[in-house]
Parts: sequence; C-alpha cells; structure tokens
Amino acid sequence: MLIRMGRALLTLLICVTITFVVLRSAGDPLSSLLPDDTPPDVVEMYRERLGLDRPILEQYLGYLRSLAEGDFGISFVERRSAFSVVAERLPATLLLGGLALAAALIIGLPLGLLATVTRGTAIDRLAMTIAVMGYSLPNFFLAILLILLFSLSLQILPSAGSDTAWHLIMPVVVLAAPPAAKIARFARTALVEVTGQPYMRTAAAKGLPQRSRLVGHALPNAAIPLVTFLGFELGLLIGGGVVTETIFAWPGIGRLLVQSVGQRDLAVVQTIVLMIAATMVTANLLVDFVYGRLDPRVRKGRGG
Amino acid sequence: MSARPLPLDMKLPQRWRAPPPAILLAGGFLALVLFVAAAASEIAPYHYATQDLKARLRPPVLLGGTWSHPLGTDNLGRDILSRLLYGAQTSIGVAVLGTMIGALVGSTIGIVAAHLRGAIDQVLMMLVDVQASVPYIIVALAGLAFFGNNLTLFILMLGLEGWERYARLARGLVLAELAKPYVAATHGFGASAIRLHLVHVLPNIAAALVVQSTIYFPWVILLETSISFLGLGIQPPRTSLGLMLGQGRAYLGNAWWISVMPGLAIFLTTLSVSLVGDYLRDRLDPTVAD
Repeated sequence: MLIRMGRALLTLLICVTITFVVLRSAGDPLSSLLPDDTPPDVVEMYRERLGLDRPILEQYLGYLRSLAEGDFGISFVERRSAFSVVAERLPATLLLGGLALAAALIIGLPLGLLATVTRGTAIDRLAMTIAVMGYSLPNFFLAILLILLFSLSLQILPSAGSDTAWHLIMPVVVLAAPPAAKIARFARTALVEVTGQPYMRTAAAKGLPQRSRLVGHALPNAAIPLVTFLGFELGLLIGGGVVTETIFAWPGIGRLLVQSVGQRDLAVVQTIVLMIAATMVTANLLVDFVYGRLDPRVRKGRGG
Repeated sequence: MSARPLPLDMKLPQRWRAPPPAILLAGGFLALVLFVAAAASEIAPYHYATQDLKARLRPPVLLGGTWSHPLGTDNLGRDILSRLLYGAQTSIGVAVLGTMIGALVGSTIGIVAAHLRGAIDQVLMMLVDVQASVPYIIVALAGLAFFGNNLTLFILMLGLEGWERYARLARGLVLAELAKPYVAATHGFGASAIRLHLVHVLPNIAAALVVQSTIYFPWVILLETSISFLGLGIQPPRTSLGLMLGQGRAYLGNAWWISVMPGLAIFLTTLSVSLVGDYLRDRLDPTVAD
C-alpha cells in the first residue's frame, strides 16, 4: 500500500511538472495578462514581480510551493483566485456525477445479471444490443434526441438550466448511458466467467437455488473485476461531464472548462486539469485499496 | 448460412467463412462513408459554404421539402446533404490522420521502451500510467487552451488520443518477440537494432497494432466531433460533422434536421467501425483483449 501511495504521489508530481512545462512553453504568460501596447518597462516590472526573471528551476520550485499552498493563480476573466472559481462549481458537478454513477449501477448491473441468467436467449441478445447502442450513441447526439423528444415535442422536461430537480433528469440519463452500457456488458462477462467455475457447479450440485447461487457466490466473485472497472469508469464520467454540462447549461466544472478553454483563461484550465488528475489518482488508489479488501489473495500475495 | 453442409475435406478454413449480415451491412456502410468522404467535392450538389438566403431552414424532401435540397437547408440556406458530405470528409480525414499519428507515436514509444528496458522503460511506462489516469478529452482541451487553437494542433491533439495504449501494447508484443529464437539469430548475423525492429520484429506485431487502431478509430471520431461540437475544434467556415451538430443546436425547435442528420451520420459510422473492428479482432487476433 505504501509503494502504491508513493507511485500515486509521483504520478501527481509528473502531472504538475508537465503542466508547468506546457504553461511555460505555451508563450509568455504576460502577453495574456497585459495589453499589447504596454510599455517595455512596465512589462519588465511585472516580469520581476511575478518572478519570471528568475532561473527556471527556482520558478518551478516556487510553482510547486504555491500549488501546495492552494494558490493556483488568478482567473483573468473573473479577476479572482482560480481555485475559488473552480471550487464554486464543484458541488453541481459532484451532484450530477454522483447521480449518474448511481443510475449507471442501478441500470447496468441488473441488465448484466438478466443477460447472464438468460444467456443465449433472445432476452440476452436484446439486453446486449441495448448495451451496444448505449455505448455507441455519442452523448451529444443522445442529448439532442432527448431534448427534441422531451423538451420540444412533449414539453415535459426543461432543456437547460439547474433550477429544479426536473433539470437533473436528462443530464443524468445522458451522462449515465455509456457507463451503464459498459457496466452491463462487463458484468455479464464477469458473471459468465464466474458461473463457469467448479465451485458454481458444486453449489448447483448440492441443490442451492439459482437465486442464492447468483447472489451468494457469483456476485461477490464478479465484484472484484467490477470494482477495478468502476475506477476506469470515473474517467468516462468526467470526460462525458464536459459535453453533458455544456449542452444542458449545467453550472459545473465541465462547462467551466469549456468556457475557460474558449476564453483561454489558463489559470482556471490549469486548476481543473490538476484537480481532475488528483481525483483520478485518488480514485485509482481507492480502487486498489477496495480490491485488497475484497480479495484477500491480492492483499497478501502482491505485497504492494 | 448455407443450407447444404460441405463435405468434410472441402470445409473452408474458419477465418474465410462469410461474416454475419450485420457485419456485412456495417462494412458496406463504412465503404460508402469512406467513398463519399473521399469524393465529397465531386459528388456534393453544392459547395459547403454556398448560402441561399431565400431557401433558409427548408425541410428534407420527405417532410415537404424539394429535391433541390434532399436533406433540407440550414439557417443560412446551405444545403445539408452537401455539408454532410464535406463534414464527413473533414471528420473522417482528421480521424484517419489522428489514428495514424497515435499508432505511430505510441508504437514507437512502446518499441523503444521494450528495446532499451531499464530506467528509460520505467520513465516511459510511468508516463503511460499518468496519461491513463487523466481522461483524454481534458488533456486535449487543455492543450488547445494553452497553445491556442489551430488545425495542425487539433489534429496532433487528436492523434495523441490512445497513444498510451499503443505504447503498452507494442511494448508487450515486442518483449514477447524478443524472447524468440529468430531475434537471437538476426542479432547473431550482425543486424543493427533498428534493422531488427523495423524489418524483423515489426512485421510480426503489425497485425495486432492495426487491429488496435480499428478499435480506437471510432474514439478518435468521437473526440473530434465532441470537441468540434463544443465549438473548440474545427472552426468555421470549415465544417465537420460535430461542428454542424453544434451549430444546429440553436435551431432544434424549428429545423431539427440540421443537428439530427450529422448526429445520425456520426452514430452510424462509429457503430459500424465498432462492429467491424470487434469482428476483425475476434477473427484475426485473439490475443488483443478489451
């Protein structure tokens, strides 16, 4: 576990370093802060004040120190700390992402279970076809279709905004569809593999009903690969959130990222990127930890 | 499929059996998409930027439109069918370029890592882990923000989608090849490392890498269309399927076809590539898993 934590920290450090290198090589940071006709001596003054005249290593260490202190720079659009600009959007994103993850599990797992139980039949094929569709339908297209149907034709759901709980429904569905489809497919694969194991035959031979075999034996064993899989799915949710939040005008981090990229508000972009990297690294660490809890062989065997 | 079973000695080898109808359909659709993308400027009835302000927001022909604009027109009276063809040209072209860049860069990194081993291998694989931990669309958007949007950078950013998976795959394949006797023999004949990898190892691992690229091709299309849809990728007056969809969003209420037509095109294309890619993977190379 200690080695894994060390690796996670190292991963973060590399992310920060790459961001620093990219920021410095992307052009003079002053050119975006000051108007083009600023007199040279004023530019020089700012250069000194921001520490841009010091050696690159010193700048790098200073950069690390300010990040550690929570100083991610100033958003030049909002003229205040980039960190607080991003932090304000965090609850909306967490709400949407959390609901989408829950929805993906609530839809995906039973669908995968159903397909396993009815393996080889028309129901199985139908469930898996739905899964392939859910995964191949691009999220922006699904969003457009839902808006056409529910907002414009039936006029029962709002197409954009965040005022009521009704505003959540379509974004959650759009965000949850791809992970739900992937979970269904993955759960089916994992369950089919587990049901082929000798202990499942033993359980059947000793007369255990199918329900207890699935719930008591198959699911716990299939849960191990599923947890790892969920760690990867987080990336899908974060990436999907960018498009989904923008379409539905949901005031979260994804929409902020798109706006900031458009306006080239680099401090905000940098804050979001580093925050996502930190989230993903933490999530992977957590997955490793849960993995060890679920599977004693991993905890003892690999020693990491 | 065939009603009469073949005599045993005439049975074709398994990989030559005719693919299922869904795969044939998907393959046919893909061939069509590739053809119209390549020939867009020849077969499109109008130029993609030709405006006809007297024929704005015309519906498709089956919904009361006329044959002069079979799929209708957009808010500036531009022909949707023509824009679809040119949009497919941009989207497919950019995605093909991107996929090739990704396969090339990723595989090279993987081969170098496998050949050098040691510290450089460790560092490169560390970078692979870092990339795998950040969703690529975030990296691509950040790159476009930091360096400013232009077409070359955009294609480059698309190309780097999935580089870490090519690197990981190529590294594993090369390591497996290096253990085989022919490598020792080639080495014994005095071949240089570059010759060994390019002339002898690469042909042996190329099939797996090509199959891998068919699997990632739809992802590159989706990345391009997503970013263009957000208005941060391909810029007007150029057009792409994603950009068309994004621009039509404002007219969903009175002219849904502006968005739905390109959306349908993207969906069917990525679905077809996925179906054909999965089929190829199962047929040609059982070693490449999910």
